[in-house]
Amino acid sequence: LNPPSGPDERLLAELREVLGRDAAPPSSVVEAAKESYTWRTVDAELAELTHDSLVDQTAVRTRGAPDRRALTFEARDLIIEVEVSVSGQERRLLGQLVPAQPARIEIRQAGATRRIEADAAGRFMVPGLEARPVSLRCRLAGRDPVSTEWVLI
Amino acid sequence: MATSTGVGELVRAAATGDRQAWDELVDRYSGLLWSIAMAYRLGRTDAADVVQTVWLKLLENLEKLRDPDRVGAWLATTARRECQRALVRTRRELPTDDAWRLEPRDAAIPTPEAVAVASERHRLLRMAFAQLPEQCQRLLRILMVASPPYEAVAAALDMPIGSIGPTRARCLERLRRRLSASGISADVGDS
Repeated sequence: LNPPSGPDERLLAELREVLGRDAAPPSSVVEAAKESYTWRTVDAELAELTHDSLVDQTAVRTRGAPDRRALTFEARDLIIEVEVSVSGQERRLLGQLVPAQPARIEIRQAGATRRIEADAAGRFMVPGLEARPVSLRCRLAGRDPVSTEWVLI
Repeated sequence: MATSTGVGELVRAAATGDRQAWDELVDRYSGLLWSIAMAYRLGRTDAADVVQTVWLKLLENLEKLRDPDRVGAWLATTARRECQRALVRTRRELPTDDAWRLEPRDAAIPTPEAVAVASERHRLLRMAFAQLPEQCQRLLRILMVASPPYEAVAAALDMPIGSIGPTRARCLERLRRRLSASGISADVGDS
């Protein structure tokens, strides 16, 4: 870092001293970011988060109770609807694939992967997730896997 | 401070499996991302989750970035959006869980020397800072960390890049006036 020169720089430097505890990320945060590189996938199509009831406030609530959060992920010809319900620090996902079809789904979160199945109607349920970033990777018949955008649940 | 030199190269290398390039990106930008989360007043747990989410989003977009040289601005924009999302999430879903984090996080544990020499001055500075408009606090929290490029600062705060310099000057001037009003030297740093 450059030594503070002008009065503005000196004032900022003293602020940094006073608010210092917040100034640098904990090393655990930096390490986790580096570790996340192992999640890199090259074969999957990305399903973008196109609706999040948390931030897309519409005049009329379309579905769900206030403690339910609705997420929509869209890939080329697949929509993944997910409802997140909250119980303390635990999150539960209820999902629906559109068009309805069975799938194997990997739930990727915090360094661990769980595998579940969506039934013939395209429905799936995942209890006991952490309140942390999550991504679903869906393996469907006859096409490349589809991964949802990462989202903090 | 990190210039944009070579950043595009790092992005392209990371996109083709170069783990060291990824680590280098993380080292360069984690400070900026953390300061943005702090500027939006997230608790430390939420801040950690937001920063991790931003990196994961970059990971899935490495090959798709339109302008890899401007990855700093992309990260800052993504961080701002994720901070705003996290704030709503915390308000709605974790009203009690995060309550302890609303304690003054700025009250860093001081060393004994610091107490003797500067505690009163720092207390006044902290108070003066807390009285600044929200926009000033956010801007200064980001600027105080590692003088990040203004393009990234503008992206983090959704401000025009040309207004960062003037706003910085205005906010510091306000801070000085508040310090003077509380009876300590306006020219902080001379003590």
